[in-house]
Amino acid sequence: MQAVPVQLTRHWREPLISMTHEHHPVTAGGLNLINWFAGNGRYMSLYHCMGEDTFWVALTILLDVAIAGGYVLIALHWSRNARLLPASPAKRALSNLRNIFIFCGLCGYVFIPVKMYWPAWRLYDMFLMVLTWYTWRYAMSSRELRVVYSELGRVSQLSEDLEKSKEESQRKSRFLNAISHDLRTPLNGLVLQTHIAEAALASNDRTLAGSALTDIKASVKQTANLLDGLLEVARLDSAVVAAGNCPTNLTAILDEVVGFFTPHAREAGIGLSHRGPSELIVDTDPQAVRRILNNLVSNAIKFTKQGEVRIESDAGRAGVEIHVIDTGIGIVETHHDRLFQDFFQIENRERDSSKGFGLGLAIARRLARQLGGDISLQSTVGRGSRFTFTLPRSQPSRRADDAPVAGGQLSTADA
Amino acid sequence: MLIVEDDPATVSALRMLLTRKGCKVRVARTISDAFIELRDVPDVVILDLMLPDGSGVSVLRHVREQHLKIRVAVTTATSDQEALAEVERLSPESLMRKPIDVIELYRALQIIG
Repeated sequence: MQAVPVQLTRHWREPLISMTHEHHPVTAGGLNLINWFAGNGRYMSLYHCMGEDTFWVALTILLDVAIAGGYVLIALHWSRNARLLPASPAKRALSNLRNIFIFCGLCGYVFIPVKMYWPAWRLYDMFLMVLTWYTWRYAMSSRELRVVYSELGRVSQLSEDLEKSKEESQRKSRFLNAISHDLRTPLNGLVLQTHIAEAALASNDRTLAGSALTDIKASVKQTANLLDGLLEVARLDSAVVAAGNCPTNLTAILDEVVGFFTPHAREAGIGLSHRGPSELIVDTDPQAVRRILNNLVSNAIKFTKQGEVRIESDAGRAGVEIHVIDTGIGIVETHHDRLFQDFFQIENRERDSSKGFGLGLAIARRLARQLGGDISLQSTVGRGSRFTFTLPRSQPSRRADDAPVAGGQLSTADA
Repeated sequence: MLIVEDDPATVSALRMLLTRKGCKVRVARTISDAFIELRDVPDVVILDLMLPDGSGVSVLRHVREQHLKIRVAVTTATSDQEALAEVERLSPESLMRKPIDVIELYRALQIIG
């Protein structure tokens, strides 16, 4: 029998060859898989399909090889990176996805150059069967993707938490460093002064011994003040506010505060006055209000070299506002918020003459917020500052930790 | 001798103790004052780290970079390990944690002064 000549140019609908028993792999003497995969010569190669157009065939092969190469690289990276992750549901889900991905690549792009000359569509169908199995298995368990995404969400949440706790611990160590510095400094003075006292006693110098003792007393007082402040901060951070609310006449408290500080102001050579309604009744904790006002007024006097400290109070619809206005050195705007943080002191050359630990305003703001109010600040450098203490008419009962403090809570209690 | 220190109690005490030991003492309360005083090149600088206008490390660094023949005793109240490590890298002649031991200070001054 004569072999059917292969026609190279024909209509695509024209049959290539007709199946006869000579062509059947089983009947034509032995099973030849290479031929069988290619339909025993009945299938066309892609090369023929493309009309043997060499340039386009070459281009197709080139592009396919390039894409297949990309797939192989992705698969390699994927497998290598998968080793970083210990076995987990998310890892399993991702490897299923990877297998499907690689199989798609194989079927789609590795096979095309092969089929250019070997039309192994039957082999291709076998691969497709495997791919179908994988794809549908994965499609049926779409829960797996949820595992991946929820795991990723958990990871980003965790890293966020980690970042926060790092910040918190940095803040704590800064706080501890500040405590260390502010405790060691007066202790240092104390130790040196005891040496002076010793030397003075040895040389029988009574005046020197006396001044050394005065300095020692001052250092001890300073240290005790710092400890008080620290304990106060810790207490305000952890404790429930004492329910000391009662109808309070703010004007009476203001007069009291002005009366107390008038000698200090006179000593500093500045004026101190109060202007406001004769009666200002608010339901609040008088002790806390007194502490806040004491702090604001003493600060104002401390940082005012000339001029006056003026207190103005007035009642609005929402609550009461008390302004403590001074003509002191003023505060740079960038420091306004930090001023209320623990241990913040503005670097100024006046620091020596007006010693403090930078806890006062932090405590005052905590207290004010616990009373349902707040303290705010307007200031111009060189012209003075205005601290405004607002207080609601009646105060909702609150827990201490409901009131956030600028710069975060300082939990010395649990440190 | 130059004392760079912002705590008035420490300054007055150190000044008194060192004067009694026969030292000529000058005082700078800020970094900028310290740089002005450094122009006279004192023999010894007793240097505090946390100062109102910055860290005393800059003074020590200046002394090292300019190769000034000044011996530096650092006294500090800080517990910040990073800051201390930075100081140690600049190898001051003495590094004392506050409260400073006066005996140790005298010893250091005799050794370094």
